Amino acid sequence: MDDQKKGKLMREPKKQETETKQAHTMHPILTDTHTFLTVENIGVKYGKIEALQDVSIQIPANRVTVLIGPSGCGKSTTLRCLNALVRNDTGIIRYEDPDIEGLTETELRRNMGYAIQSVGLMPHLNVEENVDLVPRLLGWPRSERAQRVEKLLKLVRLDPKVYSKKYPHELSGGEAQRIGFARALGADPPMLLMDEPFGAVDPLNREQLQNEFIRIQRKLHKTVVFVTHDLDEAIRLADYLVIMKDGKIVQADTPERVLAAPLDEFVERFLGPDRSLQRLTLFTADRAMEEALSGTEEGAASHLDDCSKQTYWQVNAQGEPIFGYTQVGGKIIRRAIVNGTHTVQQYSSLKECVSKILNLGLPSAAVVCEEGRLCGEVRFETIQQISQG
Amino acid sequence: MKQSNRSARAEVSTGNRESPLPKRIGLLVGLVVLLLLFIFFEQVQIAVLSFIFPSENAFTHSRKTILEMTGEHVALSLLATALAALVGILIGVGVTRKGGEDFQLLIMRLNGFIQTFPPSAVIILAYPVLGFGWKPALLALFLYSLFPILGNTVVGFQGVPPEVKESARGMGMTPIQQLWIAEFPQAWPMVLTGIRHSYILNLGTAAIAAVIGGGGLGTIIISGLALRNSALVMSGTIVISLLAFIGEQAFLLLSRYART
Repeated sequence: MDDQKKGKLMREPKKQETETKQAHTMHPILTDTHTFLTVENIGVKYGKIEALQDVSIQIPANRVTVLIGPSGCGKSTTLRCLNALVRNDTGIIRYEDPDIEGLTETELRRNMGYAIQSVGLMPHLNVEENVDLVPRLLGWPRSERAQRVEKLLKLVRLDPKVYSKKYPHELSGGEAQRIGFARALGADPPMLLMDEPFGAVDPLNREQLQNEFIRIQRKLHKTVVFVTHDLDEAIRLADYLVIMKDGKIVQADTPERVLAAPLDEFVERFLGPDRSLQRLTLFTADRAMEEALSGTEEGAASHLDDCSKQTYWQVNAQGEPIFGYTQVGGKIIRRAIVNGTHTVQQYSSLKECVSKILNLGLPSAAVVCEEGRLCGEVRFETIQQISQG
Repeated sequence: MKQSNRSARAEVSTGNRESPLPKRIGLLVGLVVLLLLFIFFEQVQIAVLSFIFPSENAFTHSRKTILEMTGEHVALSLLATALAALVGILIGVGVTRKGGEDFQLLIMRLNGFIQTFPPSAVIILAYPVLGFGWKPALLALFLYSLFPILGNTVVGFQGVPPEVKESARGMGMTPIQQLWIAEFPQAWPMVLTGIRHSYILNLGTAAIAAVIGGGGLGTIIISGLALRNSALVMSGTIVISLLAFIGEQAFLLLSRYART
């Protein structure tokens, strides 16, 4: 990414360092961060049904905590306890930050972004007004709010000029979800609560939204609690994975360790038989990306070495990959590349890379940047190394 | 009605509010001009009525002008509608809140029960308490117009999607803000429709006020009936019809405006 964005990345962690100095308890599992809030033995009853029993979680600051489990396991209830939409009958929720601890219910909610599956944009307000809601509730000055909205729309990659005056019914599902995310980030809350935010979006768009989420989270480092029932999504996004069943926590650990050592039979069954393949969703393409051999002319393909399993990418004037070449058994194989269908992005998972590699029959997958330019490749050998180690 | 629905939807999606608007305003202005011509100029009344009923000899009321009666009529209808709107919306909002939902069925049944009283019965029942004049008429109109407003308010607020309420609460709106920012704007078109219906209903029903000395255009209609003078009946009817058309158009214009 460009320098400006890198600059921001540099600045953010510094702020956290000063925060950690306030004698926060370190997180027991993620040792590189402190605990943002502690859920202690909470229980919730709906009439006679016990929705939650004795749930304790320590939410790590500036990391993504994913709550996952079969439906009815209490993951949404847990999330809704955090911003007091559901009152816990027993137990307490403690915030490490004394400023948050002292807030009233509504103030607390304003300090936690909230995004839900059905988005819930106000149909009578346009995009701009929807994103502006929480800053408006907090009484920010008008000029600051206008800037904030523009910045947020750019962050979720929607052109403010095109979108700010649109109404929710004019948006596609994916666009509405982005607006919902922008709205949750409205007042720059330290914490985000997301209840299956990508659940109602089609698989292709979901993948895209997950990529966007990873990109934004790497930039903003929010404390996120994310509820999902999609295992792929959970493993991709989680820094801390909490698996729930029947209102109880079964296992809470990093996704790597959950995959490597499922605590009991339930977790093992939940993770499914293809755990080694699941492991690949842990990594994003940029972690395994290498420099790609590319050029605008067709002929360079003949330089390919038979045994090195190299790919030569032919790009057009804009730098977009159009053909991929490789040599197998003395023969040159040529594959036409459709950008988007046959390529992956920086934040795509390695699992997706494998699928593209198998699909095209080339030894590597092309990684394209935001504008569709070729910016590297992920080689199958590299993926193999990662999956073993 | 279908036509206007379609054009309203088209207008929302394109963001273009101009095209059907001049037509509506033109129609409204035209109707108002017609009404003013009729109520202000006796010559116009006589010309119109003598054209329809050439055989009649009297075309105006002996003691009151049409202008006075129209004023009373509109004031009575508007006042009753305004009171019903105030009370209806308050109750409607109350029974769609968390604490009030238990009363919803009861209130709606009571509302329907009131509707079964004919307005003339209300007037007669109220007469011993409120006496002669406009007061019992106002009570009857008020009770009568409560039904559409209360009903529509409840339906309007029930129609707010649950996810909108959920997200409003989740982002930290106080109950008042949830009502005012998230729910009310969405329920408002429905509420306004209820107010429109009850106003139009009131314009017609208000004619009965004259029975008990409440004034209004019922005065000329009833004396026309008593004197077997169709021209007098027609005179009041023309004005009431024009008022109803104008009211309808004005409210439609208002609801268009309310959407922005």
